[in-house]
Amino acid sequence: MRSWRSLATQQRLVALMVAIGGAFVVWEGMRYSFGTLARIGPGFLPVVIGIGIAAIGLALVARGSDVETEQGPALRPLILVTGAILTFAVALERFGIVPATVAMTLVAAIAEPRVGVRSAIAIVALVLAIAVGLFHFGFGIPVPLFRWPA
Amino acid sequence: MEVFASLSEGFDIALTWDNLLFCFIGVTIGTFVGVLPGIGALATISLALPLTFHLDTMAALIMLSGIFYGAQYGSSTASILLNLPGTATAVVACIDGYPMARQGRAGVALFVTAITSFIGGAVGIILLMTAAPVIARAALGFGAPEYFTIMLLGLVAASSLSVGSPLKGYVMILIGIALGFVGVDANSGQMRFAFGNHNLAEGLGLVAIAMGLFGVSELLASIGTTRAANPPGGITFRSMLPSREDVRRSGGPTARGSLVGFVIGALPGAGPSIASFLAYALETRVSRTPERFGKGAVEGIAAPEAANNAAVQSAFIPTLSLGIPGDAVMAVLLGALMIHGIAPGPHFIADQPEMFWGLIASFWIGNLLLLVLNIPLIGLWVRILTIPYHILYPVILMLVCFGVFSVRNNMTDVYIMLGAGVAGYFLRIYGYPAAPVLLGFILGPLMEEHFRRSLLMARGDITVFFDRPISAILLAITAFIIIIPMVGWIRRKRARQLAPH
Repeated sequence: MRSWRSLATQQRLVALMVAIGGAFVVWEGMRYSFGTLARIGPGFLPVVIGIGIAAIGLALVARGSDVETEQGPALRPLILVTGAILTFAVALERFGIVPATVAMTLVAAIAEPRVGVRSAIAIVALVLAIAVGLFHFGFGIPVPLFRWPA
Repeated sequence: MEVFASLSEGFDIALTWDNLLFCFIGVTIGTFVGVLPGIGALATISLALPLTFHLDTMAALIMLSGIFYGAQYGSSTASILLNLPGTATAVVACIDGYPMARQGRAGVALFVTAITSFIGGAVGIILLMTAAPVIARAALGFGAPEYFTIMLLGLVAASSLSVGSPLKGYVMILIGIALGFVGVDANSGQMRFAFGNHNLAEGLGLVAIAMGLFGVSELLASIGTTRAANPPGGITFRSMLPSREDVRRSGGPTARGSLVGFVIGALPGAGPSIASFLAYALETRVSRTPERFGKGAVEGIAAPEAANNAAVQSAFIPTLSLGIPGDAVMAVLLGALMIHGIAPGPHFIADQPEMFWGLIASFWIGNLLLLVLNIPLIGLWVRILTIPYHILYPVILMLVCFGVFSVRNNMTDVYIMLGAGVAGYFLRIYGYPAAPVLLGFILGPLMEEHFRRSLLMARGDITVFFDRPISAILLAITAFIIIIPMVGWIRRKRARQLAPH
């Protein structure tokens, strides 16, 4: 398992994913008409650009590691911030502005390890006040403060 | 003088209450995020972009620009007081600014940076005012091939001059262009890369991509690593006044720094960070007492601060006169113009003189406001440095989510932002620069159109790009930029093979 954790391996994996992404762009681009040089079609540039991405990706796989990476990803913020945004996305239109904001902020607050209950409540209150003030009263987004799902 | 007549009309526009207010809001927000480490001008401008949909185009442009140059003023504060750059452009200000603070001269350092920032900014604006209309007029004769090659040059220069591996910069440009394919193809009317999702017909939103790449990934990188600090308090106005010796020493560096900053800022991709580094390097060369640098030499903060502020003003030259953004911030501003229905390009200044000159006038007003914000009110900004990040980031996260949703009240954009944010975070860790993605994303569709039109005009003859002199020169420069680092790489490799182990 150790080799998976080495940064050089991670570097190669990311480069490989870039190359696969390029191949995907080519594959999807081939479904559109390529056209001729005088009249290039909607598939022309996707194929050309996709080949470019795949080629550079492969070159980066071959090169392997470089010195630019200092440390791998920090998983705790990654999971919690992703969770907070997903919470917001799922809750906003179903339950309204207030529940979505409170839930999102609570999830986000635990991303920093040293936040106690009292300061978490204070943070939620602050965020809620700004959200309601700015987006409900200010810009008037078409979502109610509360909504009971039918 | 034609320039002064135009500028005074610009002031008529910029001095209306609305525009004055948004200029003030812009530079204040700019200073705020400039002072705070962990959130930069680019993230803030992407964040403010959806909010400006509710404003008229002029006010929106004035405010977004104000954030950009305002952040340059604020950024050196944390460098000087804490040895912690507020943004990437203020790294250089640490070298001599922090030693000055250790010697009890923090006030003087803050005062000098505010003044030299203003002078650098002023020099930048004057040259911008004179150069941009001339360049735009020269570019009026450009056809599709010239546009295509100049955009190509802009993209290549922007990604190879920025830090890190040029290969990674290039691939990020191409990925940005590929992201731009999503949606209805402007030419054939065919849906591309939408996978049957009608929410993607209009393409991936600029706001969602920019906020993901710069807002969300910035948050991910900062949580758990950014700490609030205890800056030294008690900066009185008296302690800020520089001695006559300080003033004498700062004059030359400020002038040289402004000019270096102006030239570098106008080049695509070079931007304020490189400008401040070069200005500092130049001062250590021309100084008769280079041994003082790094130990609190006032020249060491005067030159780079003048340079980065001149650079942010001259960065507007290619954007406003050619419609070619030199960096990601300019790309977002260009995107804002397009969202407001204005086609950027050489015609912009001629067609919308009131907007161009109104913006220039707002730069003058904004820089004056910044001088006031940064000298008498410096104590306020120092206190802002004590806001802990665990309070700040839930607020930023909320603003990001609601901001992206409010663009078209569509949750798809929030998911796109999340995807771009997570991808941007991984790419950042592994040394892939995010800014070229945005440049490619914005310029890609324009390049595709100009490429198609050039070939249509030339009946499929690809040599059209080499036959036209301006286009050929631009291509030659582009090739030069690509080849130079390769030569260095091959030479290093050969040296390594020749060298005994």
